Amino acid sequence: MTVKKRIVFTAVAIICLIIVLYLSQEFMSSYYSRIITLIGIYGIMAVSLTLVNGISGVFSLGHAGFIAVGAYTSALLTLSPQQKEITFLIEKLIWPFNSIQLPFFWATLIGGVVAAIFALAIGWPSLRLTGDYFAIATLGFAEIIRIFALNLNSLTNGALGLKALPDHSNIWASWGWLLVTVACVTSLSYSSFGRALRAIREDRVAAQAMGINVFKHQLMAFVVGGFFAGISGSLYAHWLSTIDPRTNTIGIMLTFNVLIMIVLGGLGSITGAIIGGALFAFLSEWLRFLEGPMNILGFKIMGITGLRMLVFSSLFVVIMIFWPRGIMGRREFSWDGLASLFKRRDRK
Amino acid sequence: MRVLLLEGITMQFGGLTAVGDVSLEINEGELFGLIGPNGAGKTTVFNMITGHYKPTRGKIYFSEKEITGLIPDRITRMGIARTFQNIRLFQDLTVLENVMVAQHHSISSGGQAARWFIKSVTRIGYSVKEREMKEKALNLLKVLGIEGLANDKSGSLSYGAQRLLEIARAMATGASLLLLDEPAAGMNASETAQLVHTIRKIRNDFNLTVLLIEHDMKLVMGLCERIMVLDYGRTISEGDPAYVQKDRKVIEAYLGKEWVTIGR
Repeated sequence: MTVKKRIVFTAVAIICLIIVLYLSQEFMSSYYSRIITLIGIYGIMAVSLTLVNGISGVFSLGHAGFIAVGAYTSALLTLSPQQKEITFLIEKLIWPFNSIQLPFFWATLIGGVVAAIFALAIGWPSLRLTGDYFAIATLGFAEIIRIFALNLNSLTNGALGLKALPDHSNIWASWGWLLVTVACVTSLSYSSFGRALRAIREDRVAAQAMGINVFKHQLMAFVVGGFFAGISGSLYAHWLSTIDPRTNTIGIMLTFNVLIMIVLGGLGSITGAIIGGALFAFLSEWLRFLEGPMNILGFKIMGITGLRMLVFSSLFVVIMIFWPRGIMGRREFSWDGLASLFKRRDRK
Repeated sequence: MRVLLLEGITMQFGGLTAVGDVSLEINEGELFGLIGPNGAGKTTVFNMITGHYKPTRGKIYFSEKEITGLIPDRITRMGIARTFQNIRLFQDLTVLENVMVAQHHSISSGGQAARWFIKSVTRIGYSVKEREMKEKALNLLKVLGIEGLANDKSGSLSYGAQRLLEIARAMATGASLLLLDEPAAGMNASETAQLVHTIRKIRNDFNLTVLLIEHDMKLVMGLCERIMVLDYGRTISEGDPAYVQKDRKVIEAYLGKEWVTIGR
């Protein structure tokens, strides 16, 4: 397939996607459009973690830390000064955050940049470790960020968190940023830099012997991953409309959720990360009916809280049995791949 | 002109002296062989030259510049590339990608790195470089006779082809000194004969200096212009193949003292 054809196909696909998103925005209930927005947000989280854990092969468990940094930074920038005055009960918010208010786009971008700076500061010492030690170190740093968020009353409002964030995270914001994320990560992954990252993942010693500075490349991937994690954090906070330092909002639970998405989709595949994110968002909402009262074969069952998560986990176990390397493995979606899939069907 | 100079390098692991006081000089364009029985310290010498080990004592100079204790990637960028005894290819990457990765340091080191990073993310002015790297890689694969495998996963190659790919990859770094660690291991007789031809050819066509470790004596004696023999980490003989073959100490090291006395 020629390059020109591929570009045309991609452009058509993006236009189709925009139309579908527009229609869902117009005709679906706000509940569904909220889920579609969440799919985009989870997609950004998963793709950014795939760059670090899947493509570069450094196992980070600190993703939620960068999401938190992005979330708090942008939330402090989008809240109106009046709202901040109402929210900060324990201690007053420090200057300059108490008097500024920025548009959502700029707040998100700054959230990403601040998260990237955090990633640089955390990656610099931690990337001298390898394997499990690196995972533990990043886990620790993410927890440190959360504890800071819990205790820095004059900046994060402590345990109360930030409330009444403007409802900016709509379908367009989340899917727009998802498109930007996918475009950046894909072109990075398919450039010489991405090739070097995969080489380091395959054999660190040999990569070094080929003149590649392993530390610098892994740090680069970590910082880019941190940047997009910050972006997703901003979108997530404005989707929730509140942000607080509990473990399942921005703590270790969130890291594990994102990790589940990328392992489910296929560790090392960008396509897989998006599929994993979508599946996670969709299933965790759709399975809610399990927790309501049900009528099975004439037996009336009251809602059981937590049943959803039980079924959810079992489903993942089944998926991992049939696709041990995740749904996509390390493969990526490509137009050529799709074409050959159809050709094979025709022959049959 | 002198390319590589080892000045009394010693490598101790705890109480064990793996390499003791080895000195060596290699001139430009030479084919130099490093031989010795198993465990003689040959690969340890390679690891010290390429920066994977830091010598306990002694100094290493490359093109009259000291490189003792520099990190491996820095040494490769200065112009020394190696292959590995236990093949270390990037298994999940294709043959072509393996060779292209070795050229990556040309855009990722020095002051250019940030510019190329932005270029490769935005895809502005990047494809020219990508094409250039691909052409160079294909060319090298052709030289080694494995261009037909370019799009295969490197892990799926035969042993012999993997060894050739390692040489292609080392050459792609743009190095002027190649260190080949047992390039013929696992090859059959005809493949080995072809390899001798190939190594000589790349030395002449690419103006390389080659230092190689090998157990196949036919290859070493037929190919190398100068040979050094190590035993228990010490130099026991050095000279041209004819001299080394007759050296009593070498025969002793390989076949034992009794053989020398009975044989005479």
